[in-house]
Amino acid sequence: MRYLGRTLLRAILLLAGVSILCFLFTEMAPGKFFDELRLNPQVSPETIANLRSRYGLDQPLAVRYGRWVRSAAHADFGYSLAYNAPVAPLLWGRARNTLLLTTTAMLLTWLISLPLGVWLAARRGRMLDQAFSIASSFLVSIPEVVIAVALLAIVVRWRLLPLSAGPLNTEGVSPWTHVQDLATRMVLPVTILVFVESAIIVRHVRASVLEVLETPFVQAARSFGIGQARVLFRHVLPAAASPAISLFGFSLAGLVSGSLLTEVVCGWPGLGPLILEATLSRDFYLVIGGIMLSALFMVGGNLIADVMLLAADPRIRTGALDAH
Amino acid sequence: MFLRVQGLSKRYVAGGRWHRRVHIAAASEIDFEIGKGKTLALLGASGSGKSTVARCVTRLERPDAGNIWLGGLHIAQLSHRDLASVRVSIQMIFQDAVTSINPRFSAAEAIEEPLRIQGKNRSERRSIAEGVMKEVALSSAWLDRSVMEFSGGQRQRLAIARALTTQPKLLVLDEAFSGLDLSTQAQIANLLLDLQAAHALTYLLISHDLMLVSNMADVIAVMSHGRIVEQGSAQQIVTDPKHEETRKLLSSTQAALQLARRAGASA
Amino acid sequence: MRTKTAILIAALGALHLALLCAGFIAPYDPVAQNREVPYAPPTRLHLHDASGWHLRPFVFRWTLADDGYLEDKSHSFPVHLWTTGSSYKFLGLFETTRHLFSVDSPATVALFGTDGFGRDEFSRVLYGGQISVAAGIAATLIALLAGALFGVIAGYYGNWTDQSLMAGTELFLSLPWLYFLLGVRAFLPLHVSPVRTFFLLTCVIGLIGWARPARLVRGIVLSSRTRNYVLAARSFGASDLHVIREHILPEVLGVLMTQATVLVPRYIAAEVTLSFFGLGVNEPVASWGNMLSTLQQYSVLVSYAWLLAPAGALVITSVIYALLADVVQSRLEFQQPGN
Repeated sequence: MRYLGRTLLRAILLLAGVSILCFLFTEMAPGKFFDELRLNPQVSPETIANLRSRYGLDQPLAVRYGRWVRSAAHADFGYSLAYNAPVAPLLWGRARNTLLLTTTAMLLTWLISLPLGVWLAARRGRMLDQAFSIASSFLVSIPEVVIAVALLAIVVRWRLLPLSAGPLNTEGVSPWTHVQDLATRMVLPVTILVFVESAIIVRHVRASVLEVLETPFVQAARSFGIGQARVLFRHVLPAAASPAISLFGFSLAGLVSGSLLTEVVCGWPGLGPLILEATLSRDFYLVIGGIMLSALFMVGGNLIADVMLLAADPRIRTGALDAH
Repeated sequence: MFLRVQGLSKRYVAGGRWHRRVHIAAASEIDFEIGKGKTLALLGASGSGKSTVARCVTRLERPDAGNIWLGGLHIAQLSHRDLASVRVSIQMIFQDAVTSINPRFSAAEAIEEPLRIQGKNRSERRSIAEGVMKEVALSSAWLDRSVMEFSGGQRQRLAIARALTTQPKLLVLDEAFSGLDLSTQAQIANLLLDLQAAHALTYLLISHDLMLVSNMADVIAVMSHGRIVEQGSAQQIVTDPKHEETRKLLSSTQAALQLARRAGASA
Repeated sequence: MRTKTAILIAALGALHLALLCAGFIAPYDPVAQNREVPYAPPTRLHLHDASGWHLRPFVFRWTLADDGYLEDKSHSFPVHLWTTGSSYKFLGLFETTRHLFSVDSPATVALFGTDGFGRDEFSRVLYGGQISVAAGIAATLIALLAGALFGVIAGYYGNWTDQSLMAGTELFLSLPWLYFLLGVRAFLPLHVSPVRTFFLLTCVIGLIGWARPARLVRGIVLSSRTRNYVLAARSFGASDLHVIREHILPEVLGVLMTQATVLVPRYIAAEVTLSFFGLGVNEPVASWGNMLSTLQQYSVLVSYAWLLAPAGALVITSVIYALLADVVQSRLEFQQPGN
């Protein structure tokens, strides 16, 4: 229980730290943010006056931060100037799209990688395993930019999929068409994400299963004549679960932040393109909101992983692993 | 008396931020003395505090209480700066020769390290190194080999050679024989006895192995739970143990001795 | 193992050398536009014509017809070596006009084709590589230096310094990397000179990445401090400086080297990604990133596949570094004092 409390506290402190860092970086913006606002013809003087009072835009850093934290507690994350709308609903709408993409990708990745990793570990050294090792080494070292652009090129060149960009059209279509439309649009980005992630995860799963396979207690089980499958399921997998759970936590952590590139390249209307635009237009609160949201997921994902590890690995509960 | 220890005590504090702090008395009220050129053995099971005493004597740790006299010099509470000149007189041989010498070094680099610290130039260092290599019965042709190429017993010899470079007066041997096989132990023990005779070295021997200790030590002090429970000449301790701890240690080695004798008789 | 390392290092060296000598190897200036041959496919090198086989390859001029480019076979232009062309600064040191190869105008030898402005893709890949790879290396150096500094301080002094620095690393490690990079970039001036952008970029990428090297170095320092050979050194009077120099630094350097092979490709990719989004080095300066960003238009992507050349170059660079990283990693594990 104490462990849980500790971890939760740490998570909250981390989030606070991230928000402070973000605000510190805004100090680096040359020229007063405020002056740029005033020059912008789209923003009316009333809005500016409103913003100024609400968020203390011309106040020193500490005040601005304090106001932001207070608003955040009321789920008000500021105002986007480019969109002339409050930040929170904007973020949330786009985040839903992103999550749709990334959760699908994550599910598929794990569905493929877990069995594949275990299978490859069991068949270590054989042709298929070696071939896979080479292929995955190659895949892992290629930057995501290249994979995204390459897969896009293939799809576009050979007209494999109908491509459209922009918001998902929900008006005037039947639910079934809507789902179909969505699914077709999702194929490319999900494929890219699955490609990128499974290469990494399969390798890790394979490595941790291998590590367990070579421990004395598994060898002992084998020597007792316990069958291969039983050894695998009752002895190997539970032991290899811990690193896999950590990895799962990393996957969770990256649910919001891992797909930026893919979304932009494929024209998927998620958080990525929104934050990119916000960056290009210096949309202060939107950028910070985006970073906080993805930080929330990162910290949350790690937190969940820690909790799961606590449940799964008895060594943590007894403090046997603490090397103070 | 070359080394005299009186009322030595050392406490450790365990537990970090999240656990309650626990004070452990690692050594309490330790009294003993060793004559020049003689050997005293601190004997005890693991956790009895022997290593703590060794570290206090070599001033790797500062004792909480008590006095330590080395050849008349009071060293228990000397500052680090004042200790510098005394340090060369005390050397320590550690338990695991594998970890007490940096494996990236060559034999020469390892042996010459104390000399490098003293600022001696290359040719001086080399000639001293060759000298000590000979003393520990290792060929000086091996000076440029990497430390990793030496076996466990040879590495312990290197450690001894390194200790000898500063012409020490006191050698603290902290479980220096664990991890070596019996014949190697015997070789090292003989080497140490020869060196003791040649250089009038004083030894403080830390061990849990009574058999080994009875061959080398003049005086044995038995430790248990941080205190000395029995002290006397080696002869006395082995033939007439008074304390329970001593008897326990003796009986475990006696069985081994019997086996050895039987093996010897039938050979 | 030895030969594999040697081959990889040689390959890496050749790559970096080629990029350094971009001015010499590239036949054209990267910003020189040639409006007569926009989006031209790679120039074909011929060795055989009506009069038989030639040793010296030659090219034909591209002419624009209704449905694409055609080779104008009326006139052949041989490829010359060691020629003079546009001037550039070799290694940034001295001006010269020597180039490795070229052809006489009006023909062009665009080995990787040309882009929308008729600029030679091959030359741009070389010059762009200078920017991208240099950014990666510079950022890596910054990250490693900052990380090593903080790691040594944390590991050596312990207590509060250590705790607070480690809290700092935890903070930076839980940052969503790319989002944060974008965010920081957002608040820095968007349109500055390419030199300043480059400098800005490498600093930002590098400074965000100090956390992992710091942790690794701290770990090394911590474990080294308590090793018996350090205790032994202290027992014969070693000063802090001696211990750091002889026992701790060599191990730290080993770890830093492995980190370098891992970080360089990652930071090259970071620069490419940023430039791809228009947040990095801007036109007309070439960088692999901004060269790839034109491919976001589907029409360009489909019709002009040779414009993927920077992606290919990036892949080759990344793969060589990754292979080297594997080798260095296993070498280092072998040398650990624990083994």
